[in-house]
Order: sequence, then structure tokens, then C-alpha cells
Amino acid sequence: MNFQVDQYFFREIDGLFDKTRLDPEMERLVRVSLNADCTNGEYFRWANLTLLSCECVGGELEDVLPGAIGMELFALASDIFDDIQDQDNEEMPWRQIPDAQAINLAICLLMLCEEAISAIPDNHLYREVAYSLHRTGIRAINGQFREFMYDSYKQVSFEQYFKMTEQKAGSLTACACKIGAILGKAETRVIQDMEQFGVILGILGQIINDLKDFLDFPKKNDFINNKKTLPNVYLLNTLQGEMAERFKDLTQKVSEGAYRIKDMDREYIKQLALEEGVVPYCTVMYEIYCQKAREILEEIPVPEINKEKLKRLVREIK
Amino acid sequence: MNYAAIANLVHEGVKNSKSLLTQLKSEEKKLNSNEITVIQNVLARNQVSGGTVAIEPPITPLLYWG
Repeated sequence: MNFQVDQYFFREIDGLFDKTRLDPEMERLVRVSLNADCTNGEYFRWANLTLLSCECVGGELEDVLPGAIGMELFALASDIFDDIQDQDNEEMPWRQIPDAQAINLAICLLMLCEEAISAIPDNHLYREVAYSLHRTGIRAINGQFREFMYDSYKQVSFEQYFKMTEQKAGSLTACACKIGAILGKAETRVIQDMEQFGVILGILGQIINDLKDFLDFPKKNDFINNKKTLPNVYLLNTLQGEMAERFKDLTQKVSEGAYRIKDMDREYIKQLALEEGVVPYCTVMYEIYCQKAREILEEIPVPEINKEKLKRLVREIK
Repeated sequence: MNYAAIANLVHEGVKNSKSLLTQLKSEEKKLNSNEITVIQNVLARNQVSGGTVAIEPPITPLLYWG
């Protein structure tokens, strides 16, 4: 993203290690896990989102640094817990160590997050940030809990899916935007708007992930685990008659472990996605949510120029 | 937002683009004008591309939270 800003983030993290004196192997694990999913050199996406939100309301880098790093560590811990639960993303460093150690690593990251935000000098702002992170953790866990519950459901409504996604993915992005606004000393109404904008960013990210993983389902566990992703929910709710029965039957048998997916099933799913409009549907929902995000940004009473970077994330497609 | 109405409209539109106008009329009350415009745009792009419309997120990984 921005080499100079990244250097500030790295320096803040070095400072954390100096203060906390972690076991050298644990410190190495934290370092290799940070940005491990970054493929194009754009590091610290969570810290950067927090920074963008702070800048949007008129704050500066030094105001937001401890909160931005706290957010980055918090989100990484969530990712690790998620991957252990889903047994997914095997190429990640935390999936190449025993699960027990990966759990240790994630707990350590949560503690480092607390340590990072404790550097916020203003006591009131510190409490606001800590409260936001804790509430986010609870909301995300509720979403995750719901997701696992739905694995065993034959049918999930769109309302249930979007509620779960708001909690699971939206809560984290909402937290990054909210912390940025808090540390940028925005007014309460602006903080709430930024939080709402963040919820939508999370939903957008989840729609992209769900579609990508559905189209790449031989490599992902979502289909095997009968995860109620958006493509899956769409098919379960729109297919009718014999087609609906065949799809439900296949997802159920695969998730129960009673059946191994064959090449012909892969072809069938691909064909289904194409003929029933899985991609257009996900694209429609993506663009509707982008529009909602733009409407929220429009209402935020800050100079237009401050919103530019956030607007680019949800730009209109002509 | 009426999620089911959006899904049904997209589904019908993909299966039979000629019936989209009729469908739009019947779902009109359940959707707002912005939603209808998005659906029409995406389905038109899908038709032009021969069924290969894709989400076009901004060229930044910043959107890949979640």
C-alpha cells in the first residue's frame, strides 16, 4: 500500500516485541503470520483500513497507530481460529504447526492486541477502543457459532445468511472503521456511520470470498462442510423440483462423509453455477451493497476529499 | 431489502431473459429502483459476455477483508 506507512506499522510491532519479550520461536511465528496471506506486497490491510477511516474523519497516522496495530493483531487471531475450525488454508504458517500451538499463537495475538491498544494515551479513547474490540469479538463469535449451526441445516434463508455474515465478517471491518473514527476524534454520529460503512465492507469481502471459494470448490472445504455460502444459499432457495432435490441430496451426502465427490459431480456443480446464475446473483448483491456503502459515505459530514480513498473501495461499475 | 425477490428475479432473468420485463413488473413493489437498475445492468452485462459476468472489485486487496 504505502511503504512509508508500512514502516511505521513494522516499527510499532517491533516496539511491542521489545516490551513483551516473547519466546523467540513465538515471536518468529507472529512475524511470519503477519501478512502471510498477502500476495502482492500490500501489507497490513486491517491496520490500513483503520488508518483510512481515521484519515477520513480528519485524524492522522500518529493518532491511530496503536489502534491500527491492535486491529491487525485481532483480525489475524480471528483468521487463525477460523482456519483451525474450518481446517482450511493449509498453506498458511499457522496451519503448518499443530493445532494446539496455532491456538496458542492466536491467544498470544489477542494479548498482543491488548498490549498494543494500551499505548493509546487518552484514557477515554482507550476505553472506547477496548470496548469496540471486545464487542466485536463477541459478535464475530456469534456469527461463527451460527455458521457452524447452519452446516447441519438443509435450508438457510437469505435473511439468515446476511445476518450471519454481518456478524461474522461485518463485525471485524466495522470495528476497524469504528476504531479509526474514534481515534480520529470524530463525533458519535460519524463514528456510527463509519461503523455501518465497515459492516458493508465486510459483507462485500464475504460475497467475493464465497463466490471465489465456490468456483474453486475442489480445493476448498466449504462445499464438503456444507457451508451455507451465498452461492449455496442461492441455489438452495431458487432451484426447484428435481434439480433442487439433486443438489440438496449431493450437499447432504458429501457433508455427512457418506460420499466422495467425483469428477462428474464437479462438472455438475460447474454447470449448475453457470446455468442457474450463481455469478450474476453474487454480482448483483455485491453491487447493491456497494451502492449502500456509497450512500452512507455521502451522508458523512466531512470534506469530500477525505472520503476519496474509501470511495474507491466501493466505486460504481458502469 | 427483499432478498428473495432479488434472487428470484436474477434467477428468472438468467433462465429466460425475455421474461425479465414481466418478472420486473410482478416484483416491482418488492424492490427499490436502485436494486432494479443494478439487476438490469448485471443481467445485460451477463448476456453480452455470454454468461461470464464477474464481480469487478477495485484493484486493491483492501477489499478482501473477511
